[in-house]
Formats: sequence, structure tokens, C-alpha cells
Amino acid sequence: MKNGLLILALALAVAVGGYCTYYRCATAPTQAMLAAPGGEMEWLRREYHLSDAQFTRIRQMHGEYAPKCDVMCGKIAEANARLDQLIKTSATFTPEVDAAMSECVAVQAECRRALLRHVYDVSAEMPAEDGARYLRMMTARIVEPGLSHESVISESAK
Amino acid sequence: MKDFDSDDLPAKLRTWKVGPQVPGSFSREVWQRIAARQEAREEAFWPRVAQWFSTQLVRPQYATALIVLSLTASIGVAHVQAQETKAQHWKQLEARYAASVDPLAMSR
Repeated sequence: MKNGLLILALALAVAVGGYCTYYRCATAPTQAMLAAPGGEMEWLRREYHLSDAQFTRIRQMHGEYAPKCDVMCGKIAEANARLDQLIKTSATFTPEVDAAMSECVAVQAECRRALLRHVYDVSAEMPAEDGARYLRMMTARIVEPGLSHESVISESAK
Repeated sequence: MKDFDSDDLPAKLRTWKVGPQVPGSFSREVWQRIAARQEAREEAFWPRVAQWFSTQLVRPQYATALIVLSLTASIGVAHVQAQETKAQHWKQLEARYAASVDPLAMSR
């Protein structure tokens, strides 16, 4: 009986050990990418099968675009804050609110335009098929950042 | 012999009724016996399992088979769960990349 229990315990230990070892080994690469600061660029390289040369060029483009992106992010935040402040202090739709609203829209349009240009530039560096896939993925996010029209209609119909 | 041949016989048979004498405790006793047998069968199950463990499982071929089976099953489960985790990580990385180039996402 003792030997039987010992074998059962051994089987359980082997199963737990096997599970942990396999799971850790299998998820380690993506876990490391998530933990690393530039993990998203490594993801881009693997997902779109970039060669070293392509990856170097895209990383350089990304590096040049990042400061512009930060500036645009600041502009959006500023415009949003200004509009928010005006809405809080105005009881009616004043010309100032209208102007702040227009500024918000203009800044957002400028950012989207710059993003789309960057996305096209990056996709042009990729292999044709992967580039088209990258473009689809990114434009889906740019064109439909929130709910799609159909989902809004179906949600409102409930 | 003449009595059996009489015309009264069919009439007697028609009126004859059998009244079996069943003891009052019959039903209860039957159920008790059934319960006792079931209990005995269930009690016998675990000793048999224990006996199997002590006699069969210690055999090298059974022990090896059990360990190999456990390892295979655990790796199978780990594989399925690792695939799901990797897919989640991949989605997170995709969202991180998209956010890193999208000023609108960054300002949210």
C-alpha cells in the first residue's frame, strides 16, 4: 500500500513538474517581450517577419516619429483641457467653446494624418503581404478607434 | 370422483379466490436487505481499490505507465494553456505597439 501511494505521489510530482516546466518554457519569450521596454518593437519584428535591414529602418523611422508623436499627444491634451475648462465655465454654447472645439478637432485630425502617413511609410518597408496586413491592422485602429457604426446601432436598438 | 365431474365445479372455480398471506413487515425487510447488499458492495469497492494499489500499481509496467500518462496529460494541459497565454501576450504587445504610435491613444 505504501509503495502504491509513493508511486501515486511520484506521478503527481512528475505531472506538476512537467506542467510548470513546459508552461514556463512556452510562455517565456512573450513574457520577456512584455517585460522588456521595447517589447512592442520586437513584437512588430516577429509578427511581420521583418529582416534585420527592414527592422533597422523601421526602428529608425519609429525613433524619428516618436518625438513628433509626443508633441502631438501634448497638443491633444492641451486642447482637450482647454475645451473641458470652457465647457465647465460656460452655461451656453459660446464662440469660445466653438473655437476650442474646432481646435480639438483640428489637432486630432492633424495627429491622425501624421499617424496614417507613418503607418503607410512603415508598411512600405515590409514584405508586400505583411505590409498589407500591417496596414489593415493599423487603419482599423485609426478609422474605428471605438465602436463601429453597426455596433453603435445595435447597442442603441437594445 | 363423481364430485369432480359435477356441474358445480365451474361455478366453484369462478368464485374461488386466492388470498396470499404476506407478512406485514415484508416490504420493509426487502428494502432493508437491498440496502444491506448495496452497502456491502460499496464497502467492498474501496478495499478492492486499495488492494489493487498495493498489488498492481507497484508493478514496474503499471507504475511507469501511470507516470508517463500523468506527464503526457500535464504537458497537454500546459500546452493548451500556454497557447492561450501567448495569444493574450501577443494581443497586449499589439495594443502596446499601436498605442506607441497613436497620439490619440496616448492622450487618453
